[in-house]
Amino acid sequence: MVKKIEKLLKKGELSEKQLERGICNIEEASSKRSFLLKLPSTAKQFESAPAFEKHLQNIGKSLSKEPKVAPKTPSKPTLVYITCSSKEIRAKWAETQTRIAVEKASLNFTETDVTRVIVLVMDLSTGLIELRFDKPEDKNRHNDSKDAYYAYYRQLASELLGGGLIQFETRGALRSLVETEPRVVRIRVSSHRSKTDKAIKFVARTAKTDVRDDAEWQAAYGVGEASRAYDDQAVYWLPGASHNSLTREVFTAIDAVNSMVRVEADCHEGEIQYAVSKIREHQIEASAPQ
Amino acid sequence: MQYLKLESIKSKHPRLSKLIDELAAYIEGELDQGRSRVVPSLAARQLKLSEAETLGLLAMFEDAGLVSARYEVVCKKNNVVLATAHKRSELKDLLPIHCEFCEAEHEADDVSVELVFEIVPQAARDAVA
Repeated sequence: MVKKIEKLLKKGELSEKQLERGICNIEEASSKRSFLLKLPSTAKQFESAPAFEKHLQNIGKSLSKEPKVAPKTPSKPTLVYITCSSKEIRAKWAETQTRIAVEKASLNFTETDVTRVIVLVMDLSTGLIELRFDKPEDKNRHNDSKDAYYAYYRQLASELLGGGLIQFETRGALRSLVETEPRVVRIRVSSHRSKTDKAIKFVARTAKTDVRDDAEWQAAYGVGEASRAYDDQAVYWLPGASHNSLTREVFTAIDAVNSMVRVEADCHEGEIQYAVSKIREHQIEASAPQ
Repeated sequence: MQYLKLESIKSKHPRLSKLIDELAAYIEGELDQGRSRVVPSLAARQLKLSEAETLGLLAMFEDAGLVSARYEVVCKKNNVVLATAHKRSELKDLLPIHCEFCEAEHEADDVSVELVFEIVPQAARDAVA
């Protein structure tokens, strides 16, 4: 891969700018857990880039011209850039955490410093905010606590956007994604809580199958459809239902308790945006008065 | 010709003729339902046989080219099949294996291996035709 990129750069078929954009795209979308948030209705809304820029000046920050690649293993949490367009506000931070690998047989612990990238994306047309995190490692500067790691950047994001962030509900979206026909997602593992608080899990064990095709799943759905509650759900977005937004099935794990969405390492910006926008659409549809 | 394969199994094991027909009918039913593999424990339940007896019958079907053994690597936590190997010897090459549901690279302790039989569709259809 490196050789191929070198060749393209030498031939001039790939510019350094394009390469940098590609790296940014990967580090801002790949393997992220993204918390879905919004500003409270009482918070000040930025209607234009100049208004946001003025707010940044007031808090001692400034806009960058364009997104930048995160520094490798910075010595302290670092704000990489802030950008604002007519479409979105975007910011990125990077910090260093330590991964510990254990070799059981020799009782060896190997520590490796890794860069963790945190990305804030606020969609200015919808107000939906994504705060994307790399997976927390065992050792970090937040007392080795993953919750403190999340809270630290949530606070920074609040300061940047000028208001406390609140959770964007996703429970309604989970129900809607399970129930929507024709299907927009494929579901391999389906779990829910019944009316009497029993945890029920159905698993389509083999690849490319959907648990909703199973007669026992359908019977359970028939009995508990209206009363069941969903806490989390992993889905594969179907390209056929995406109006050409997707070229392949995209895995997304949705945690409705924390309104957190997790994607895999091979996910790119367009795919994560598709997933998040669909969750938002389904949530709004589900919460609309009947 | 495939029908002959089924008859050939029966001629070698005449006392099992009824069970062979029942397994063939079960496989046909699975194909009709869009399923392409036989899970011994589920087939055993349908045929009212022990799992060992069912495995014995499936081995005969495999010898006749009607089904083919597969080894599925299954995540112990979520029970999803993560990969399939055609030979036992290929299993070690599959580890560690990524599980998107657990967001982890699973080692041998995290997975189980299950023997299933992939139906060779045309051969099985012809056999019961």
